[in-house]
Amino acid sequence: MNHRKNYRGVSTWARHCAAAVLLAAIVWTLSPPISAQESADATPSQETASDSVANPQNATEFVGEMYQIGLGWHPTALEGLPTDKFGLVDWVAALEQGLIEPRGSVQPNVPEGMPFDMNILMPSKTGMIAGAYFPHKTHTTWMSCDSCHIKIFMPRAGSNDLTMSTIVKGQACGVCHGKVAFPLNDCTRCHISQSDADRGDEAEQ
Amino acid sequence: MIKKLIALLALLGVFAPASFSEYGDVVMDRYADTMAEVGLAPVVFPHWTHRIQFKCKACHESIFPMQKGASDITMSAIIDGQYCGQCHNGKIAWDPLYCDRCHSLPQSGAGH
Repeated sequence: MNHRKNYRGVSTWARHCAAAVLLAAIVWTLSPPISAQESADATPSQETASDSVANPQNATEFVGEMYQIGLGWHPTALEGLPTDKFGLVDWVAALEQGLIEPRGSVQPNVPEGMPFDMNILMPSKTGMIAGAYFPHKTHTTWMSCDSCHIKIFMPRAGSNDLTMSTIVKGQACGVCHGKVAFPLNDCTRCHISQSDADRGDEAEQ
Repeated sequence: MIKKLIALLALLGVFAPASFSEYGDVVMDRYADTMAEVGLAPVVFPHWTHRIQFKCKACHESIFPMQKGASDITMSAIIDGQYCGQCHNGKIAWDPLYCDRCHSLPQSGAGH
């Protein structure tokens, strides 16, 4: 076929095709939703759900925010480090496997204190989920005591009224978890049963 | 409708280039207005690339309290050896001379 060319050398046929695609896209944008059910489903999932519908067999179908972040761009420096189920770096595993050697002070060769080793099991308030397990050692390996005590947690048993509803609002554990430490929807990293906690303690000893 | 509009704009490349951010990144834009006047983007602090070499306690709480807005970080403080300048002094980490490494928040529509 011999198409007529304009002064830029683009054939009229190609320009018409491009215009048709653009027009179709605009029409699709302005068209109403296919059904009322679709829009009713779409509105809450956009605003509240972090994990609505997902196929665990195929990670690319995960729709939760953390999965999307995990599937997204990452700095080259983080390549090769172990990841959690979201595809985010599992820093505790990276440290345990000796893949990183972060130091505890800005200055080199500053001796570092031993981490504080005390596990706390907070019983479940509802019974619908296992109690929450807090390992001091994992936290004090990375952090100093004054990061949490006393401005976030009173260091006294029973004096901190922890609920998930305040944690997801960024209080208590949510000061770090969900922002820079592992996400809050990795439920079973904290909510483990008493027997699992006991087994973990025995394994350490 | 709004979702479709966003999809259409994305299709047309309005949002290109894509922004790059990692979990844990902190945007510092207290001085965004004055920075914009001299053509500087707000600062993005990548928590996780720092975490490879430093534990949380290296910086928290002695250099940076873990509270949004608690640190008044300025370039004059940094070159005076405070805040980022505790490391970024050419001795522990690179000097604070490579503006776009930190002033890196992607600007929508602007050509930074």
